[in-house]
Amino acid sequence: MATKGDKTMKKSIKITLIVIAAALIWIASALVVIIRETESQQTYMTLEEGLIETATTSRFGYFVPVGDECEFSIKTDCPADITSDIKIFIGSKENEPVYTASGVKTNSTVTTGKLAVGNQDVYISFELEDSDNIQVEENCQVKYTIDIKSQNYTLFKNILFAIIVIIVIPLAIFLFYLFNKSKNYEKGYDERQVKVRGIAYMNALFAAIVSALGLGVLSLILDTYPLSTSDTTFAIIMISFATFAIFADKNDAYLGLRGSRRPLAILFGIAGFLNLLGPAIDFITDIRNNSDTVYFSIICGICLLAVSIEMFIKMAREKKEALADEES
Amino acid sequence: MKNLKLKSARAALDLSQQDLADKVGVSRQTINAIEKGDYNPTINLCIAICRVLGKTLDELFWDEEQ
Repeated sequence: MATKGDKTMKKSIKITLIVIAAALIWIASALVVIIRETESQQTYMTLEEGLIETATTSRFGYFVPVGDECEFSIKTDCPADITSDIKIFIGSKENEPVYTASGVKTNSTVTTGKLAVGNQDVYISFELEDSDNIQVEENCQVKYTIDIKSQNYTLFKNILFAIIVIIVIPLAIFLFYLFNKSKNYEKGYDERQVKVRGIAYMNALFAAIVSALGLGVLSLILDTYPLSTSDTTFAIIMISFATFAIFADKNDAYLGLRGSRRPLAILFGIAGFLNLLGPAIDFITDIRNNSDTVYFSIICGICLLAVSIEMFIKMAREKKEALADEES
Repeated sequence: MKNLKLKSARAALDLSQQDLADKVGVSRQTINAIEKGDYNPTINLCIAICRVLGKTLDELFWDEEQ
C-alpha cells in the first residue's frame, strides 16, 4: 500500500516532469524567437503641425521591442512644392540624430540602412520646407508611410532566461515538496486559520481585480499616467498582498502556530519606511531624478506600512487578551 | 453563543487558553474564538479538546436549551 509520502513524491516527480517539459518547449520557442526577423510593419502618419515627433515604440504598440537593429523605409506623400527633412533619434529626442535626410521630395522613399537602436525608443522628426526653403508651419496634407524591419540578437538573453527557468523552477518545486513533507508545515495552521486564509485569499483576489480596474480607469482619465505597465502590475500585487496580510492577520491566520509576529512587523515597517523615504527625498531635495518609480514606491510603502501597523496593533491586542485570560 | 462549559472545564484543570491550544495543536485565538462562540470547531477538533480536558462531547458541546 502506497504511503502518503510515496504519493507526494510521485506527485512531485510528475510536476517536475511537466515543468521540465514546459521549459523545453519554452527553449524551443526562444530559439524560434532568436532566428525570427520581424517582418516589415507599416503605418501612416499625417502631419498636422509642420513638425511631429513620435516615439515609434509607443505608437507602434505591436512593435515592441523595436529590436537591436532597425531599418526604416519612409515614403513621403505631400504637395509637389514641399520637401521634407527627416531625422531619426535613438534613445531621446535630445540626442544627436543617427540619420538625416534633407530635401526629400514627394513620392520618394528614403531608406536608412541598418541602425543600431539597441531596443531603445526611436524618434522620427519631420520638418517641411517649401520651395524657398522656408519651414512650413501651417497645416498641410502630408502622409508618411513607414516600413520598419528589425532584428533581435537576443540569443544570450533568451538562453540565460531559459537556464534560469530550468534551474529555478524545479528547485522551487523541490523546496515546495520538502516544505510539504515537513511535519511542521502540516501543523502550520489550524483548521480555523486555514478557513480564514481561504477567505483572505478571496479578498486579495477581489482587491487585485478592483485595483486593476481602478488603475485602468485612472490610466484612461489621466493625461500623464504615472505608472508603467510593470509598475502597475507590481502595484496590483502589492495591494492584493496587503489586503491578504491585513485580513489574515486581523483574524489570527497570517502567521502559523509557531510564527512570530514581531520580526515580520519590524521587517515590513522598515521596508515600507524605506519605500517612502525615496519619494520623500525626491520631494524635499529633488536629488534623485527617477520620478518614474516614485508613485510605485509610494504604493509599496503605504501597503507595507499598513501591514506593519496592523501587525503592531494586533500584537498589542493579543498581549492584552492573553493577559486577561491568564488573570481570569 | 459563548461556550462557558469549555471555559470552566479548562479552568478546572488550571489550563490557560495557550496551554490548551498547545495540547490540542491549534492557536490560542482558536480556543478563544470557540469559547466566545465566534467559531464552530470541526468534530475532530471537538474530540481533541474533549480528550485533553477528559470530558465527553456532550459535556462540552451539547446545549440542552437549543
